[in-house]
Amino acid sequence: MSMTARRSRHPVLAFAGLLVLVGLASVTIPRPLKPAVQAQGAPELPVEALTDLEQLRARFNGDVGKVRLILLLSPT
Amino acid sequence: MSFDLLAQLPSADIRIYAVWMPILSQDARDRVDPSLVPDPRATRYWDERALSGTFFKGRPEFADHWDAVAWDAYGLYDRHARWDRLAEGPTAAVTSGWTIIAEGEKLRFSLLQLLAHPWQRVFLPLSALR
Repeated sequence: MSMTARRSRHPVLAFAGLLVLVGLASVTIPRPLKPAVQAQGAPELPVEALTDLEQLRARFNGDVGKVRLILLLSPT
Repeated sequence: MSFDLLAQLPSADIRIYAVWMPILSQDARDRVDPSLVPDPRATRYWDERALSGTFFKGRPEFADHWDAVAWDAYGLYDRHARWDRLAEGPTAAVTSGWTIIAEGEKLRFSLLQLLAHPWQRVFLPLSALR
């Protein structure tokens, strides 16, 4: 292989390497998350920290007389 | 997932407790999207230690849930249900299920049934009964 031919491949390899790096970055760089706080103008939807089941029990019993729905969810 | 059914019942006497907990590795408090349950009758919680999912997994209505923690699941309780002793949980759910989307129709049907009671009877004149 002549020196000229080797040189002519370098830009191609460099470009391919760049594409790989860009691809990796798009995978590893964290994407913006869904906002936990509502956008301006939207009603505020507070999320309480549940640190003790007693909180849930108290709320549940405080609402006796109403139909109640418990939803157990995962953020994703 | 959103709860359009609740939006269709704006005057229904119902309370919702939406509890998010970390299940998958990327789950975190800042990934909770409370707008999925925007209903003003809802209380939203972040349960960092998955206390609720672990607890309800131990309840009969969630015992068959596929995971060690009950999640993507619901429990529907009537007006008389109480949760007296913390360790025992609420009195039996009218219905429960998972996943919420898969069981959406069952939830919808049960919810409408519960909200319809007590039925308002029509008193017909005696002549109509003869």
